[in-house]
Amino acid sequence: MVFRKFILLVLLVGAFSILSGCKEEADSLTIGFIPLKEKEVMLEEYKPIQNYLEENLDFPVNIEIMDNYANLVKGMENESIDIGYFGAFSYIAAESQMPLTPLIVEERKVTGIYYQSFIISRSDSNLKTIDDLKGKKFAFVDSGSTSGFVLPYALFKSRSIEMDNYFSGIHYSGSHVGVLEDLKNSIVDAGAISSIQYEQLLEDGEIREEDYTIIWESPEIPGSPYVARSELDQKLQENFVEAMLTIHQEIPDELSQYDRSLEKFVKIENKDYNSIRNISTILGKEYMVNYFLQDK
Amino acid sequence: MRQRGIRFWALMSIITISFITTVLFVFLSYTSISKSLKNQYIHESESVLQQSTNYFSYQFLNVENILEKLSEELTVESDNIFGTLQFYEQLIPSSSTIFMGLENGKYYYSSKQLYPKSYKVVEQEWYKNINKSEGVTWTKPYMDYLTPEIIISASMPITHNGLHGVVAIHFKIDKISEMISESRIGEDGLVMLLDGNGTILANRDNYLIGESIIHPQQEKLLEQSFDQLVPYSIDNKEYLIQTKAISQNGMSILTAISEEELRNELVKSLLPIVLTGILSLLIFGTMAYVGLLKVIKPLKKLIDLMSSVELGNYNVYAKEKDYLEVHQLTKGFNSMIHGLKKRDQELNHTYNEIKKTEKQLRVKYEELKESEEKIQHLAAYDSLTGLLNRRSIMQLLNQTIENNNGELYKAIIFLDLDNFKTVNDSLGHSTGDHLIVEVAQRLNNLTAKRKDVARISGDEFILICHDLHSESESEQIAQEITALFEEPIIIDSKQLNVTASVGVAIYPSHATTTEELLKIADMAMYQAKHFGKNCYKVFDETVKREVDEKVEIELGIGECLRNNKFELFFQPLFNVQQGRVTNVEALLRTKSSALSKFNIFQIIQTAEITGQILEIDQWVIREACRSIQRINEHMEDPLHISVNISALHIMQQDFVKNIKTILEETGVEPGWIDLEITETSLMESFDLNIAKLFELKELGISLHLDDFGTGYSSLNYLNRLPIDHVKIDKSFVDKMLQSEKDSKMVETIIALSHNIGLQVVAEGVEHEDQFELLASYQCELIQGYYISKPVNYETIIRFIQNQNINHMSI
Repeated sequence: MVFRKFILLVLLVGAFSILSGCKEEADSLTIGFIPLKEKEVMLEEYKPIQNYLEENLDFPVNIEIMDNYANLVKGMENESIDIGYFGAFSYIAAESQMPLTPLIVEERKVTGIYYQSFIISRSDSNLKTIDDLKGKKFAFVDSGSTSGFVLPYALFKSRSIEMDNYFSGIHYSGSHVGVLEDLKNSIVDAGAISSIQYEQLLEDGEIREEDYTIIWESPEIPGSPYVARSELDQKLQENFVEAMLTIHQEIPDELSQYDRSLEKFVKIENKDYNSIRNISTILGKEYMVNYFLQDK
Repeated sequence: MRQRGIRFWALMSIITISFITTVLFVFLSYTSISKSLKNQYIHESESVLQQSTNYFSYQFLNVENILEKLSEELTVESDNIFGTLQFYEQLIPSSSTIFMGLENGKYYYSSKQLYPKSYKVVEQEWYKNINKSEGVTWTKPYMDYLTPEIIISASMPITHNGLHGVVAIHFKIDKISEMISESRIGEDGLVMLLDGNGTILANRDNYLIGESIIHPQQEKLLEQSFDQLVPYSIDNKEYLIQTKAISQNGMSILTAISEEELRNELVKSLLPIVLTGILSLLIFGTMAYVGLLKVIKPLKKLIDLMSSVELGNYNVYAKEKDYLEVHQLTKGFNSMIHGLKKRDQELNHTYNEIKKTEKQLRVKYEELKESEEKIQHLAAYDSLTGLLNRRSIMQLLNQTIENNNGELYKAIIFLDLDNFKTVNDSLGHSTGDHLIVEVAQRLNNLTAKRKDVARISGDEFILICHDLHSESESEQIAQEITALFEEPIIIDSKQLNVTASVGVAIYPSHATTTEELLKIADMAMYQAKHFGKNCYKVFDETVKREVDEKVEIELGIGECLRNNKFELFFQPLFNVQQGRVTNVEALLRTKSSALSKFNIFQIIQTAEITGQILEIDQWVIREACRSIQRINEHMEDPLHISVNISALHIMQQDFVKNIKTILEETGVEPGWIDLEITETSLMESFDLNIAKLFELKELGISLHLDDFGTGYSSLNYLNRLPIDHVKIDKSFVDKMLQSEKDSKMVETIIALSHNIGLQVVAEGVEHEDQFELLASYQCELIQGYYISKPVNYETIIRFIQNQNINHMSI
């Protein structure tokens, strides 16, 4: 009967959809972060978002602040982290190690998804140009940090500056706030820091604008993306994105408390990160990636 | 195999056709769409390629022109330099800057930015990159000193107007990428600017800048792409690439069509078509199926009608409508039904007829059965007495032996009526039949409980008595049977004294098979017969012995006859009157060893039973004829020879003829031949025999009546017989001297015989006294040991010769 034909079709279609939908099931979500500031502070500040996510996704959300940028990549690799909050460069480095799906990125009120790398010095140290930094001590954030390493490194390269010879000492502070701390405490004479962190510190009143000089500003760099392991449950990824895209409507107060400059989250376009990719290509990608990833 | 309906086959064919059609359809649309799609993309890619190439060619040409112009126009004077630079800056794409650097380290540029003191122009890429050939050279992409953005520079040396340096134009790569990004090839296609080494200078979305497009083994492919579309992988994605060179600077434009996009587009275009196709197939399939069902409907109706016809209902009629084929079918159906109806009626009629015939046949059958039963009964029973017949009794005996499982005896009794023939002959067959019936009744009334009685032939009966507890019981039964016959039987107010001879065989003592038992009973009965009238004999060893003897003798006789082992002995008869031997009696003797233990009497008796006597008689007669011929050759007065003839012989039809033949054969004088016949032999079939005797008499043969006085003859018969001599039996001669009465008897017999003209021979004379007495009574011939015992041929010859001599001498 015709009926039988129908059943056959339905079965075929059904089989297909079942097969395609087969990905791993998850029962909890772990989000890993690059160390922007002290762990406890980051955890504290992220709490409202964490709660919001837990409510929305209807299962536990764990937050992990990594010790360094490389560990985030490693955590994604061994699947202990499901979604990572990367810097642009650390994302590109991770991309070369495993299949990743970029989900969302922060859109800022003024600068959109872009920010800058600053090289700053204490105003009282009278260091005003890159040339002034010769023989001085310099602080980077982390060899994986876009604003805290890669762009300054590109700058030095373009000016044919051999970092090890040029500076009297190179220090890796571990976080953006750490760079400022080291600068404040005169452990270093200048350092690289992300414009977002710098401005946040200013806004929070941690620092005073007049105390510091921005020696150099980089061109625009795309902001830090939330990236998921590609194998993570599709539904979970979708739900997460859905939740984050509407967070500015759901909990606007908590969001601005977390980060005043943050407007909302938007979906990532992969091409936005081409500029960073290209820079690392020009600089010598293999070297850069390995340097970063092997660094512990 | 299950028969499947039209529905099934229709469905199967619809599905198959649909499937095949779908497959073909999909395949065709796939190929055509993929082709057209590909062409579309290729077309796009080609046009983009052309456009971009032209555009960049133009741009680079422009750049070169400007650089050339600059290198000509720039002079030492600084405001002039700056102004010139600014002027030309307008001619180049925005965000590009013109730089001039001099050997002495001085540099000028068109933008407003400030360069730090550390900027050493002569160390810069663009400055160093020139080749001395005075043409434009392009750098690889590198990072700008200030920012660091990725730039690419075209530089040219200046060597005139007192200036030694380099003039260059810097381009921001991302700006070039922006320009190139305006061209698209599909969604995911790429358009890129490559330098002479295959490094990507500009790309859509600023993608993969600075990466080399060249894979280790694929330079050839890349070369091919200048001429044709070539599959190539870029950043692990598959593309179809085409390249075009920009003549000036070794750069080229590369367009890449994303294969994945192509495939997705294909599927996207294909899917609606396929789905529509499937959908329409489904619809049409369903319609076809439904249509088919409609077509089937009238057939179904016919099938239903057919079913009711099967059940015997011929009053159906199908409506003739719908389409032609069904119409014809329906018409056919109707006429078939009509035909069936008619035939049905005819069949009914025939059936009734048959039923009638059947009844008649049945009656006949019953009759036949009755007859059959009757025949069977007849076959098994004797019609006269109602007793079992021979066949049945034998069958019965067989079966009873087979089924026998007890230790009880059975008696098989043979019963033969003595002299039944006489009764039948003298009193008629009707009386005879009544007699038999009476006997049968008497037998049936015997006290033995379990018995079977059969009449096996004219006057012979068999009884089988079962379940006897001892052998002596059988004897009792035999006695009882003989007792039956002591009472005379009265038939038609005639009193008949009938006696029987009874022979008894006992199972399993005497034998265990039917044949044996019957044979033994028969033997016993035969022996009983010899005991006299109304006797019984239970089989015992003597019977067996006798029978065995008889067999032995029979065989012996046969052997003698074959091998000529008989011989004749001769006993002389003394003629009293003549005082010499005038006759000899031929007596049968045998030299055979097989018969040595038997006497001649037994042999002859046996021969008479077996019928061998006929042959013997023939032989005896013949031999006697020959012998007497020889004897009489030398005799003046020929002797007579007398030969004994058996009753059986006489009774033969060709008896006389035989004698005649023998006489002729031997050529003997019939007058010399005497035949001795016993009284008893003659008495049976008296009338017939008489005629034969007269015939013999006419031949010249003399006849002697043997054993005279012992038989049943009446004097009347005596008169009628054409005999010459009577022989007084030995028994008379033996007793003759014992008493007066006895001697008187003999005397009377002799006198009587003389009175009716017969001569007398006395047998068994052994003493002289007897001889004397007989001689005194005028007995003509004397025979016996006193004269001589029977002797052989040689001896009798001598005896006769001596006698002649003696006689001569008297």
